[in-house]
Amino acid sequence: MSKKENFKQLVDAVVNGNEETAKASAQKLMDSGVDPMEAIMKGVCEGLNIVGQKYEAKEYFYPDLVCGADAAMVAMNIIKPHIKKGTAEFKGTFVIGTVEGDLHDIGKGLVATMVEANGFKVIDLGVDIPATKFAEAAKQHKANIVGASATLAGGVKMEQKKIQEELVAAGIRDRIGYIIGGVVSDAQWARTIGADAYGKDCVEAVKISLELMQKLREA
Amino acid sequence: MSEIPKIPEKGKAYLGDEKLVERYLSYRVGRLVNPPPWWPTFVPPQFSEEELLEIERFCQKIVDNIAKSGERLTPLERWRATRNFEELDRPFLASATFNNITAKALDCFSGSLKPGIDLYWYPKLCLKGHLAWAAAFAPDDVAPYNFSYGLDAEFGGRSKSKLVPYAAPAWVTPPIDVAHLEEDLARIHTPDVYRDGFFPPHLWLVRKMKEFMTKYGAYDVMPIHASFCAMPEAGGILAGMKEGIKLNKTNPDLYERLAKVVLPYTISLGRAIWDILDPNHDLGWCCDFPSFGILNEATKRALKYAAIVVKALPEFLTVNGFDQSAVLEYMCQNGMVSLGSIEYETPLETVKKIYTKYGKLYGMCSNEQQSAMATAPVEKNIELTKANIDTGAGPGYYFVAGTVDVWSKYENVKAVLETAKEYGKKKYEELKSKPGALGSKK
Repeated sequence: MSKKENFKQLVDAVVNGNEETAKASAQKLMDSGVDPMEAIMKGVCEGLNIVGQKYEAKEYFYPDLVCGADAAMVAMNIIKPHIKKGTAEFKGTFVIGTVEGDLHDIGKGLVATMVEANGFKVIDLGVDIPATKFAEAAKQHKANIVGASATLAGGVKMEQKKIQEELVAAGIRDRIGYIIGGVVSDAQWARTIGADAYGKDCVEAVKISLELMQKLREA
Repeated sequence: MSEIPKIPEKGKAYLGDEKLVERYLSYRVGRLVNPPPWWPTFVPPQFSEEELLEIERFCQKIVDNIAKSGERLTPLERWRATRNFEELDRPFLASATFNNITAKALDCFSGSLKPGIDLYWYPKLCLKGHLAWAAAFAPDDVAPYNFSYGLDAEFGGRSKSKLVPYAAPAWVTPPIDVAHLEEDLARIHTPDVYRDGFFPPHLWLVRKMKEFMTKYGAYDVMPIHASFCAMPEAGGILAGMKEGIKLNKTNPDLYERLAKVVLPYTISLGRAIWDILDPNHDLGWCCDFPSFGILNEATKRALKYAAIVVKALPEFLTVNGFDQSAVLEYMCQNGMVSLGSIEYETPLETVKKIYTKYGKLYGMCSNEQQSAMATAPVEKNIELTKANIDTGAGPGYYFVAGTVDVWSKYENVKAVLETAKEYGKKKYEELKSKPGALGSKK
């Protein structure tokens, strides 16, 4: 199989959410000596971009997004160990988690995969994370962006406000971006609590993250 | 209570030992972190004299509110007119509140109660919370919500859930691990809604609510709006939320096997609710699974289970969590919509257009208003309420105040409910002159 065919196979595997093929084609690319960053950009990212376009065009829905992200993650796990330190185009450090009292993992996981594939170092704190931990992790890892997901109906989104307060209290808010997500939040809530943006889905979260990094660099 | 015995292979080991069988059955439900004192076997609580007086007062206030409102229709008459697409004085005002939110009425919006843990531990608080809410805000119904979404602890197996301070129990570990599929499928069971986990307190709540409201005259003028969750299309999430969302695409056979485990549960809980309540008097509602944003084979495969539930039960409303514009017409054409739905993200104009065509009821619970209730000024909440009524008004429309959450401000909740009534009346008065704009005259 040619290099071009291997790339296409990886792209298709991500688009179709086929984890086995994604793993095999990523391995083939690495075995044939392809630059890992090229494999990420032309394989994983290209596949995820198509998934995102199909989602925006309403050809795909949540199951397709989740399957695509999982296939991308499997491929990333094969490719990442081959990246030589300092060679990847590093976009920034992204600390992400689901707020305290909420155990929803999917949306947060999708965003983590997508931003990682787009060049961010991701620190995934997991679910049910207290606001203080977000601030501690952001400080410890010198985060550029913090992302907090809240999906459980009933009141957990107030935790996103607490995170904003903790970031301010830690004295780091002015140098990092803060994005919120999850179905119980929205853009108005983001403005109200002082977050920089609301990402309605993982596709938008990537766009916002890249824009935020640009703004942070220009500031 | 915290020591959970290892669940044996189904039917083995305990045959012939009644005590152990009972013990095994009482632990068929999964593990629960922060369990109520009565878990896993619900014991109906007794009421003190003071509590009975409190409940009587709440019911009397509900009746007084209606009597003093000067409105042409009682909430019950308004609901019946809505169902029959008859001309109304204003939109029916559905609470559609979560149980935990009614704690706000009990603690005077002070934030003293931990609504999740306190109300789920002590269902009497939940009963009082709902009645106090209805007495304070005068909606057109009382809406006891499920104590559990019903797809975790009650199915047993590997399930572990956690009761959190501000919501219903949340999953930690799902009942099924796909890596141990056959073993786990043999281990889980379709819950008995009269015995397992959080269903008995839910049914107790609905039954006692009807009993008290009947005793004090409130049931004569107000319907009860009870829920039964969830639809069998959600069955995939017995394997976990993420796996569940993927299964219908990656493993349709397993998806269908899990939907078939959930199907009898949904029907039995729906029947249990309708055994207590009256479909000609009350409202029933059931949560649907959200991954139907596009119309493809997977969607069709899933929705055929909705059609089975719709056929098996008296009419009920469905709660649709995501934008289902692409699917609603197909659902209407194929018997997958019962009475109608409460929408979250499908644009109200779209729902109105499709449902009007197929004779279904519709209401909208917007996330935008949920944020506004917690943070925006009263004026913004009034504006959003008016916009909802302006867009939705018509035969089959009802207003849903379910955007209230634990952090909603008192003045905003009050403003939304009052605006829904006052502006609703004004709007419907205007529409009266347009033939058919509000339904048939009665």
